[in-house]
Amino acid sequence: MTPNRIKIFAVLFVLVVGSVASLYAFTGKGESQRTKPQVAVGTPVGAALALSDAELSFLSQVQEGSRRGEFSREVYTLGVHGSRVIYRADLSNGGACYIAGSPLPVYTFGRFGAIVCSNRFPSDEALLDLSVVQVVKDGDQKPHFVEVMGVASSGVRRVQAVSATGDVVAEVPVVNSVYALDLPAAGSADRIIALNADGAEIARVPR
Amino acid sequence: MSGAIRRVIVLAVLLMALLAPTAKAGIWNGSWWLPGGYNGSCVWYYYASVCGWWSGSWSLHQTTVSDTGLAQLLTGYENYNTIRGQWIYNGQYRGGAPSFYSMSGSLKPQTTWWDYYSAGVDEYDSE
Repeated sequence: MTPNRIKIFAVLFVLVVGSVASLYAFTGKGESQRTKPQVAVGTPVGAALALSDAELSFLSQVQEGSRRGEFSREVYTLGVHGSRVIYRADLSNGGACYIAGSPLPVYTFGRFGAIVCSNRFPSDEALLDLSVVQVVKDGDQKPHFVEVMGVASSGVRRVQAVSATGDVVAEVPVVNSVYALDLPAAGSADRIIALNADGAEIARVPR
Repeated sequence: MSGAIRRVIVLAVLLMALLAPTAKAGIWNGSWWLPGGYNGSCVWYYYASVCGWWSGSWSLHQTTVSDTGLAQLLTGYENYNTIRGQWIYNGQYRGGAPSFYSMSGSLKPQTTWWDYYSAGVDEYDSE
């Protein structure tokens, strides 16, 4: 083999190996080799819900608006706290979205009030909060929590609601990946803090 | 073509023209980059927010925030006195009905940039 042919083979070899490596990285196949944090996302409480027309309409609109693929039509209860329920809606592609709602069909869409889907939860985010924030013109015009609820990854053991001055106004353990707490008064908390087993802060909302 | 047929065609075209905008008026849909790309429709924080129009018939306010970054926004509904909503971050989609936020009457669906970095937001709302 002549030196020129060897050079051509060498260049071709580098090009082919480089292309395969780039394709591997671009398609994300290399990602699966990385170890992601293993976290729980809640065990369903009971069987999948029988969905009403209003609730199916909700999922249909979310499917259209979120462009995250189809729902598997299976929605499970993760936790109940008073008049609030956190549901999990599974996607056909293996992901999940979380719904804050009621045990009774009191909303426009039956039992479903608000939904959140995240690309980063639970692998890269510890909290997927579904709390309600309020800003009032006649007040101080700052955002305050009026209701606190959400979903937490397995590293979160407790959730605190903290006032503007830094006082803990309420605290609850995370049960089945769900947290929900009663505030002493609507607007008494400005921040939600996630604590791990050592009592150290690992996430907060707002950040 | 007889005059009667022509009148029918003209009437049909007029009817279609009248009906088409009505059907589209029930959807507020668009993409913006906040805080700079505000649409000026909001009562609150109009310089860093996007809002739909006043309506008492919004059913679901849906917001998606661009995947990368560390932005922090508030998405929900507003009237002249109150904003109610949820914090939303990059890589998240949120949808909420006015009744979930205990809001009623004439409202604007809104998303307000709040902190840190700019972010792209997609809005899809139906009346």
